[in-house]
Amino acid sequence: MRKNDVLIKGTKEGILVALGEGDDYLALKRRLEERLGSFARFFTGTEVTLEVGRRHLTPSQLRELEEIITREHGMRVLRVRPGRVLEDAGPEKVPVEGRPTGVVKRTLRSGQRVAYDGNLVLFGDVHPGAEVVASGDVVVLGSLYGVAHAGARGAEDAVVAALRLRPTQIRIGVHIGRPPEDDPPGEEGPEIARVRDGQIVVERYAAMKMGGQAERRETAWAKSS
Amino acid sequence: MGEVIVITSGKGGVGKTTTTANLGAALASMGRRVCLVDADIGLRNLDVVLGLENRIVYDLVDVVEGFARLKQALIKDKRLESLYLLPAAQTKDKTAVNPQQMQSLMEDLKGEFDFVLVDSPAGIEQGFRNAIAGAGRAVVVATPEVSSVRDADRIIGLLEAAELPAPSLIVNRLRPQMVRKGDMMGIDDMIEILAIELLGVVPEDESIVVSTNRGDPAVLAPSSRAGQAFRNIARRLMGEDVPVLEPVADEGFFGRLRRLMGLRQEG
Amino acid sequence: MFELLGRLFGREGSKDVAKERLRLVLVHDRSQMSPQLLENLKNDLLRVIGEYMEIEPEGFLVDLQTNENQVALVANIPVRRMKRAFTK
Repeated sequence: MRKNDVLIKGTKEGILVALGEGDDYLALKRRLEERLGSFARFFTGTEVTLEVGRRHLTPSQLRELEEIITREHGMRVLRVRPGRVLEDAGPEKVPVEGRPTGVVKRTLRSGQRVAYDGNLVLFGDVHPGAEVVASGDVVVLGSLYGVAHAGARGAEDAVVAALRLRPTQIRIGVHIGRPPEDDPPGEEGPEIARVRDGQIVVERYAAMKMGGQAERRETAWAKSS
Repeated sequence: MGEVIVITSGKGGVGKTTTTANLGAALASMGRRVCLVDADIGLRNLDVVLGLENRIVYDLVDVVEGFARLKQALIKDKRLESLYLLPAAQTKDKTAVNPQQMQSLMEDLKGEFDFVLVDSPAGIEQGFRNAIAGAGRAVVVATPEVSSVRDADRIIGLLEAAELPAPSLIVNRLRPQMVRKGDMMGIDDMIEILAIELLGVVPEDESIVVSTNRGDPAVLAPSSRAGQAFRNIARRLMGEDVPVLEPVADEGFFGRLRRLMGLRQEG
Repeated sequence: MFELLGRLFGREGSKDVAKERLRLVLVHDRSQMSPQLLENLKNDLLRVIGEYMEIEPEGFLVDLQTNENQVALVANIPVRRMKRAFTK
């Protein structure tokens, strides 16, 4: 698919609207209106899967695209898929204020992957080579050694927290960080990773709870290419 | 236009990944542009051996499926300017890729690099067929053990059937001391049995364990004996004429002492 | 010391055992004949042997067998009748 292009096709699950890669949001929006317009409300009432793919959209942009599809063309957006990022969700749902929260009670071994559209709480460890992905926060009640991706749809305010934070890599929104090459084994105890000034930083969780600036031990992580 | 070389063995655990990492690092340290491809989809390891595991964002399957461009997935080595890694996927399995896709991927890589070294998975199934697709040449790694030599023979047969040029052999983990005692097959024995060209011999060396632990290829440590052997092999891959020397046992203090005292029992 | 004695009395190192075993197993591995090839061999044998004796094609068995120290081509060929003279 060309950059900033939009593809519309029929699938078993209904109509699929797939967004191409690229960073020109306005061009994408124009293209979506064009494509849908060419069908002249032919799809009114049908269910749509919106495939965001590898593209990064802000929540408001996503809302706008959804509105074009629903309001102007009378279709129903059944689900939004950030491509493969959140494809294999499946933890049990726990209703929580704001984003839904999924709970998983097991340890993830190398090669295993859990993804959830919402916050994700994992009771267990994440081994090297395993991946936890969520569109909201990722909380690991155990040791995190693998890859964690919070805010997988672009939420910059998402965090990754773990009782023992020793990940191979952390991704928050579009940011990717890895522990500094000469990282000292760090302090024991819960830590939390967040984005600050466009960079992923790690702080002790206890410090954050008490709100004290003095106790904050921030480690800026290397940006991964 | 570069050359695609598949590093294979049939049997697991004989040092394919270590060999791939070290030959790649050696070639790159001699100024060649090198891409290492981990074809062991679902069981990736080359990234850890090279110490690049925390830089992976996209992988080979992402490229093949069109989710990432080749340039996005290539990871530049942290020590060597001209060394790159195309990592395998970990959360998928070998059926995610087919030989045709691998072949066209190799075509793309050949245009960018002098050497493309493909680390093949163990076994003779689809993972192996993927790894050899697009390779112009094969190197078989075997240790001087019956199981490894037997599997190497099987692999050589399969490479012949796939119409690759005759493969060459790297004898890995040779223990000269044991060969001298007659308790391990030597190079001549292995060449006699397998009837293929010898590319090089790598002695058993504890420094390999240490360098793998650290994620630093042994070729970058000047004192490593295995590293020296890999550097020689890399030279041969570049077409230089470097004679293959059978490693000699380090006799240790008592060996030297016995010889001094004229008490050595064997010739 | 045992090693020296072993050497004096001609004990072979385990390397020779390894080589011998490998040689054997590789003959077997490399001789993994396809059923088609085995069938061809069988037909050729039938033709050649048939010039000397009359044989029972049904009970005719050809197989490669490995035992401890060799790989053998084993054929079981029931003979119905010997021919009196070589007639060709």
